[in-house]
Amino acid sequence: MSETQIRIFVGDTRVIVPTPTGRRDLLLGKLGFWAQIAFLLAYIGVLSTAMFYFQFALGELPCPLCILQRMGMMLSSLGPLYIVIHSLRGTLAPADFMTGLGFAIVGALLGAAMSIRQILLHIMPGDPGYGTAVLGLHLYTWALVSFVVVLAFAGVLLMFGTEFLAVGPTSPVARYVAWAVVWIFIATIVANLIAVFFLEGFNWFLPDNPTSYELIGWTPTPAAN
Amino acid sequence: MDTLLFGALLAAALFIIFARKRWIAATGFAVCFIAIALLFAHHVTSTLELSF
Repeated sequence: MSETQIRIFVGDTRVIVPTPTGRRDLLLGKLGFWAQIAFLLAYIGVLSTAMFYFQFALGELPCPLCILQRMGMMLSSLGPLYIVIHSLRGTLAPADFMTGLGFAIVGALLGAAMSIRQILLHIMPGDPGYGTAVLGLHLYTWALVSFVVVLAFAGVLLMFGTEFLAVGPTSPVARYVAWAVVWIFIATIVANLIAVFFLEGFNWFLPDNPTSYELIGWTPTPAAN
Repeated sequence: MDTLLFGALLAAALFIIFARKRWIAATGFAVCFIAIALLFAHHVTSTLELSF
C-alpha cells in the first residue's frame, strides 16, 4: 500500500482509499473543489437571470414547466452543495463524493425530462415558443443544454474515480468565498420561494399561462423587446 | 404546491449544511425528487399530437 492510501473499515469490510497527500493529488483535489463551486455559481447565475431579468425586468411570468425546471436545477445543485460542505468540514469521503455526483445526475435527469417536454410542446413548425429567445434558443432549450452539461461534468469526474475528490481550501479568504457561494445559493432558493408565492398565491397549482401575481392581483406589463 | 416544493428544497439544502449524516441528506433529496416528479406528472396532461 502506498503512502497516499489509507485503510478504513466500512462495517466489517476493509476499504483502501486514496488520501490527497501528494502535491499532484492536492492540486487535482483543489481543482475538483473549485469545479463544484463553479457548478453552484453557474446555476445561481442562471436562476438569478431567469428571475431578476426575464421575470422582473421584462415582465415575462414563468409557466409551470419553467418553475419545474428551476426546481430541477436546484435539485441538481444539491449535489455540489453536499460535496462543498463536506470538503469545507474536511469530512469528504469517496462515498460522499459519489453521493454528491449522484444527486447532480439524478436531479439533471429529472430537469432534462421537463425541458424535453417543453421543447416538444413547441416543436411544431410555426410555433413561436414560450417567452423570449436568447441567441436563437428559448430558455427551456438552454435549460436542457445546462442539464446535459451537468451530466457530462459528473460523468467525466466519475471517469477519473477519486482523482478529483474535492479538497477544501485552507486560506481564510478562499473559505469565506466558498461559504459565501453556499449562502448565496440558499438565498436564491428563498428568493424563488417568495417570487413563486406571489405568483401562485394560495392556489395549489399555477395556470398554464400565468398573466398576474395571484397573491396581490397585479398584472405586470411585458417590456418591449 | 410550487411554493411548498421550494420550501422542501430549502429544507433539503439546510439539512445538507447542518446535518452531518448522509442518510439525512439523501432522504431530503429523495423526498424533493419524488414531490417534484409528481408535480411534473400533474402538468403532463397529454402525450402531444406527435408521433414517437
